[in-house]
Amino acid sequence: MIKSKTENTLYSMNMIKVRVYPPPFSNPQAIDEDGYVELFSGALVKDLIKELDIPFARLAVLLCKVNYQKAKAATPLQHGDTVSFITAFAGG
Amino acid sequence: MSGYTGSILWVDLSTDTIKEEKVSAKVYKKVLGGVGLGAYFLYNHIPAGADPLGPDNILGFMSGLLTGSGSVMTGRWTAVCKSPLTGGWGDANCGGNLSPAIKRCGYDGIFFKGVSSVPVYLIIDDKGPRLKQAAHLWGKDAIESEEIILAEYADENSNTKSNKTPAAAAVIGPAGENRSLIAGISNDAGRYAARSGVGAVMGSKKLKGLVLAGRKKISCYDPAATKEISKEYTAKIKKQNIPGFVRGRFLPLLGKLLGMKRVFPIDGIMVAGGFKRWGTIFNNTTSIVNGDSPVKNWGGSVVDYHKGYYKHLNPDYIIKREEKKYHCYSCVIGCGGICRVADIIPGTEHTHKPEYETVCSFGPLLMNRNEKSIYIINDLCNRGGIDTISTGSTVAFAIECYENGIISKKDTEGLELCWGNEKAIIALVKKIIAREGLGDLLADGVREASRRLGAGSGEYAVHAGGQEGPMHDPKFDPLFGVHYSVDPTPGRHTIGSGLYYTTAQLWERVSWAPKVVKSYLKEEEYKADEKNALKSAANAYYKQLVDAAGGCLFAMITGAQHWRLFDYFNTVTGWNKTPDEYMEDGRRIYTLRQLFNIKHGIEPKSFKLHRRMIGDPPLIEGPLSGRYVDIDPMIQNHWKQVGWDPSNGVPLPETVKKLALDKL
Repeated sequence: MIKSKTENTLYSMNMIKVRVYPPPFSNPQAIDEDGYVELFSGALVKDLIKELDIPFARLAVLLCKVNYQKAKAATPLQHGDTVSFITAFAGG
Repeated sequence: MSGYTGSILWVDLSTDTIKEEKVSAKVYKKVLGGVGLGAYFLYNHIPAGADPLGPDNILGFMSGLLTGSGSVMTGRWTAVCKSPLTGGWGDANCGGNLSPAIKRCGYDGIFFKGVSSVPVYLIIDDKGPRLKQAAHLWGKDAIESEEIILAEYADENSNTKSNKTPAAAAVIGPAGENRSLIAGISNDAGRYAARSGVGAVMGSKKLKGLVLAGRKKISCYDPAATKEISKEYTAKIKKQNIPGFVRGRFLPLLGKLLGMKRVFPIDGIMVAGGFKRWGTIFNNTTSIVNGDSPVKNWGGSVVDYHKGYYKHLNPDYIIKREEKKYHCYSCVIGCGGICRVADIIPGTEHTHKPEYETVCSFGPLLMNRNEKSIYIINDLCNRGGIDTISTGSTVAFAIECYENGIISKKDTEGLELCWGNEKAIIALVKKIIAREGLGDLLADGVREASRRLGAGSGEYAVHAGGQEGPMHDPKFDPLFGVHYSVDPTPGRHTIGSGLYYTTAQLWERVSWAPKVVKSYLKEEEYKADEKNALKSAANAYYKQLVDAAGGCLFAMITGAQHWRLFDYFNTVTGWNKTPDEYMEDGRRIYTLRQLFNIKHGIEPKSFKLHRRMIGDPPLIEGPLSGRYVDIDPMIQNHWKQVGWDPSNGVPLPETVKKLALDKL
């Protein structure tokens, strides 16, 4: 697959980008305008949580999903992954 | 012809004539199906100024364009008519098993006009459509009536070749027969198309019910591609479960997070776990703490309905009574449930799990902390055939009138109508269903009751354009308020909100929909700016598509990149349109519904929200204290965005032309 210039640059720098739906109390500055967070290649879920400055990290991990599957603190992240957190909702 | 049947059925109850009409493919391409097809026929066939309870009104039972195609979360049907409650466009939709049954009879919609001289019900099966006398059912409750007509049909057809798919039925209860303007239509033993007064229209036609037992196949352009989308979505939903440690008692904490000063984007599919475990009742305690739930007829807050009250509504307590979960047709979430209530309601073993809207309407809204009374009221309303939101709101109105001396103890025939008096509330609900005493005044909703009562009672009649407000406060999420006011069917919560927009993630598919991928300050939701106007327009158009498809709101909430509605339309029909083109179809349906209102003399500006809904004056306590929604500029921006005159909400001639509505 031909990668975009940005992606090639990221790979050459050993960086990855993951799409993140951040939970409350996370640091909004860590997320770019398209909803992505840049991490070093080989980053784990716990690294993302640290990058987002999420308090109660252990609780956040319990509510975290990677590509809609259960995740653990040590779950490795790949370029292009989607990371979401179970949350409340109002409606219906 | 794929997805749709290409036919509708007309039943003239005045003349007992039934005829089929073929519908051109061009019409489907423009208005799709479901609510869109209903709007097309009702706009053209109901004369201006028609009495909603007279012979000129038409009541349609519409299946969805995608129903039965192999798509999932597309099993809802829609009742359409001129609403006696608002005087304009009326629709209400419901799940269960009726929608595919309409299509299996070979029709995309069944329309009733005229008024029968005697009570009747309609049967459609392999022998064709026919009317049957229903005098013996008149006066019976909705659940019993459904059992009887299905049993009668089974008895009559015991010698015919068995049908693997059981017949489906829809009926009204006594409230509909009594033409209560807040009556609904029931199917699947107590599921409701509840709003707009659709049950009153059915009652006015002396139509007690329908039994649908057709066996026709439902077509699909590309079954394999449709199945693939369904498989992918189903697999994702299966994995969404709330972790075991998240108990109901933790929900208030999660609810408080939703009310923070910053709003965080939500991946909609993450919400599915809550619907799977609890159904809509997870809102019971999440929404009370952040102000989403209206309290004490919209005049109170969680300070009044504090933990000592709301702890009784913990959804875990309710699902302890749940003996069976159930899914509507083609549903993969399964938010419904059947609860054991033999110890609460003598002689009744089971009833439907109450929905959040019901719990809030008869809980916080009335300051009622007796959760058992809510099962009783839910069952009364399901049997009586009446909308729980409007009924709860009407009881709240009556309590405030009583407390302020507008209604006397003589009027209530001895009932002590005080906040939280569950015995009086139950007694009043019975009176409303039966139109007895004070119940007769209240059976037509708060607007009509306040008009007849006078004496300043309008102050306590919380509604939007005649329809009682749903249980989500626009002061918490202002886009709810915009949709309560601008939708051609005002005062309902299923069109859009800021949260719905965020979770539906339309920007993933629609070129002009603004992105919400980063957190933002809650105060931005209160601004009358272009971004909010784009969001409300997108909400409105997309919801028309969902309702045209027979789609479920909860699938919409899970996100457009997961529940791939646009792709479904193409794989089921073969039309090959882009998401932007479909959104334009949604805009067409939306505008057609508004044109219906204009034709019938509705001034869109009259669909104003009661001032308590926007914080005028603001609440002095609770999470929404001090909040005021300057709704008028937001409404004007919305109208401008959708191509309606921003000064009065009338669709502009150029919009009508652009949407080809002048040619429809």
